[in-house]
Amino acid sequence: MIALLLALGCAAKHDPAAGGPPPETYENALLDLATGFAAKEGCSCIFVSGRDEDVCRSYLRVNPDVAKIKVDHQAKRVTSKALGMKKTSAVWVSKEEGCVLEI
Amino acid sequence: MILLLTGLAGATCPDTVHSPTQAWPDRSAEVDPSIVAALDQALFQERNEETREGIRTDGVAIFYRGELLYERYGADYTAQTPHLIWSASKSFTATLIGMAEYKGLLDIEDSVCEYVDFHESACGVTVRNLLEFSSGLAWRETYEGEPPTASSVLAMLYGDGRQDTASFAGSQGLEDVPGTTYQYSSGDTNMLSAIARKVLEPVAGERFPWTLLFEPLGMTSATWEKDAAGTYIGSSYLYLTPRDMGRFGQLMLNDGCWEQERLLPEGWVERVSTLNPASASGQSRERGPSENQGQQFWLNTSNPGYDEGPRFPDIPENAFAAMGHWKQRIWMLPDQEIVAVRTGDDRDGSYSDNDWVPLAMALAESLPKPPPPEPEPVEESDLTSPVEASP
Repeated sequence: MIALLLALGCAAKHDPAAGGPPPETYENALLDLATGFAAKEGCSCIFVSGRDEDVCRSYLRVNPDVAKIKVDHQAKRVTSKALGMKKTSAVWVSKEEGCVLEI
Repeated sequence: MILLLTGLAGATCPDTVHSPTQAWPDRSAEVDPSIVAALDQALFQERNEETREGIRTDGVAIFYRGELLYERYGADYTAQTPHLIWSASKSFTATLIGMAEYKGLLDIEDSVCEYVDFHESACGVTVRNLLEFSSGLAWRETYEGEPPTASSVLAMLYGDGRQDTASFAGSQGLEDVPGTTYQYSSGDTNMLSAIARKVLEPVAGERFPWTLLFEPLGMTSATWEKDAAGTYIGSSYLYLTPRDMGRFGQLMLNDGCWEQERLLPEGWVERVSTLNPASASGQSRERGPSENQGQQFWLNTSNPGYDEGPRFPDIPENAFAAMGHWKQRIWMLPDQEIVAVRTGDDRDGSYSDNDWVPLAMALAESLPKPPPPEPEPVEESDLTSPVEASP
């Protein structure tokens, strides 16, 4: 599993001028996507829709369920970690703009 | 001359449009309770948060001639909870493009590079191509159940593209000649969003979706998230309550008019709800034959490219909809004057629009009919003799 993730991180760069179909895999590794999804959608579920943290944890469950969230209600920030290797956070900006991924 | 122009502009909006800016009048007490029960049964089921199987409705609101006929919420949702509408956001992005057209700020036949500095490989793409999902740009619109790292849309939202979604989409390179091949793409829509921002921000400010669309319609629940570059994620990240989603649907039934003011070009609603040439051509990458698209709106029409009947046989053929992931819906039924909104969290294939949208039509038909107009009252003087009537 880990070897697979590392391999995916080394996919070839796509050259837009060359054309053709999309790359077989994008450069981002699975853990980026998993923690990005959990952080952003978790932040929005809690701070935009105003739902309970536990309800949102259940809502966020996807397969593979590797990303876990930590909620800072004071700073309105949700941080997601996966397999101790990857950390991504999203923060609530305003009523109109909702949440945005950081970093 | 100015008077004449003002007169013409006013004449394009009928005075019968329904504009529930403040509140939706409520007629839910007047409909047939047996149809209400049928809607409850079709849409609201016991939910199992472990298996997440079956129909999982979060909210439903049905409107007829600008009045509320049915409203119910599921799980922890209320009438005040803004719900993520996912790809139903795309129809709102197209509407902002339509508003820019109406203001004379944009021509959809132009290259996208007329407006935004996209990668040069994208400059053969027109704004119309983006609206019709026929940009030809390389794209793979896949979600759960497919390899996540092969998904263009996940890379755009959560991976390499998340800082600047529009330039990510515009840098994918061409897979097909623009205008020839249909490929549903959230990337196309975020390029539209960047173009809308470029032309509308100078005239309406950074909050242009509010000043031009949400505020005039009285949509107070909206949140629309941006990427780090400041572009609204036009493909996916608008949050609204069902009542506010209904206001957007009503604007479509009103042909783009609200409170006697025209917000969209005359005929624009018909254009975006007519099958686009790429969608009708049978030339479609990846997603198979049942994708009937106008311009960022889904259609129920039959598709000559695939020799299919209407997608949902019991829904009128000219109905059209904004649709989002996990079954978010805004259905517009022009002939029936109905807007039918549904939010949900559906994770399997149990849900079908065909199971409940026809009930919305039955609900409207069940309203008590207004009494026939009374005959002209006969003048008292006609019945009395001229002598008695004289003072």
